[in-house]
Amino acid sequence: MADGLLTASAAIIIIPLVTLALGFLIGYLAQRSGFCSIGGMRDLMMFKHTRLFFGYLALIGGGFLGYFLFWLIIPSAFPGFYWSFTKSDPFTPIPGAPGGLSIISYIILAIIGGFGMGLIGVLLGGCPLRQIVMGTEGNYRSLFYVLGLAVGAIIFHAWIIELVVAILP
Amino acid sequence: MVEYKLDILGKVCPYCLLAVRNEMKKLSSGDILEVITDHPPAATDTIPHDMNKKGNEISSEKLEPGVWKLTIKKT
Repeated sequence: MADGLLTASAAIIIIPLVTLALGFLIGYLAQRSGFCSIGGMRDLMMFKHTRLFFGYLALIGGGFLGYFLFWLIIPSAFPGFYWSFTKSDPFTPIPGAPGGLSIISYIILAIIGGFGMGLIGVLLGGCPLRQIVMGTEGNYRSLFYVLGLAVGAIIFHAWIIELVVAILP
Repeated sequence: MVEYKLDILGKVCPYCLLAVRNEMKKLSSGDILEVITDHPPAATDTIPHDMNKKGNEISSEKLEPGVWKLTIKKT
């Protein structure tokens, strides 16, 4: 890990354990609060309910603040993180994002992906995190959603991504 | 006073609240609607919040773990 805080052999054990513990904590909080990013938008637009929407805002704010704090503590852990849009490549951190496309192509992909994810999410009652939580609550449709998400990602990265790169500028 | 019943077991957001809102349109003042749901956010948050906002009386009863009966009285 960065800055010599952990040795490599200790990091292999400690990082997964910390990740697992945080996963349990986040999962517990998500279940208790009913957190749902798609639900936040949906409830705001359909019913003028703001509770879930504020949770969504808190996620964005908390993520930004957390990233900033970690960056202050261990700057070298985030070498690609800059405050200027021009200096950093905002698409690099997205795992599996096809590289080398133009900004327009990324915007098109984001719109298609966001629309698809949003539509399916509203039809099934929640965002991917919410689906995982509902799956653990015993909702088998949510488990199929999570399974479909994984299978879809594999299909996209195995075959469709080449087609996308070939078609888009 | 008429009692209506609505079973939305297995339904998730936003169907739960939509179904309750649609059913509430059939009710006259003083009528009661009993809703059975197993969707926690609907039972504990969205439906009670919406009904309170509209001025209807709502009470909740846990029938078994994960299943709620909401009793709504239209005012």
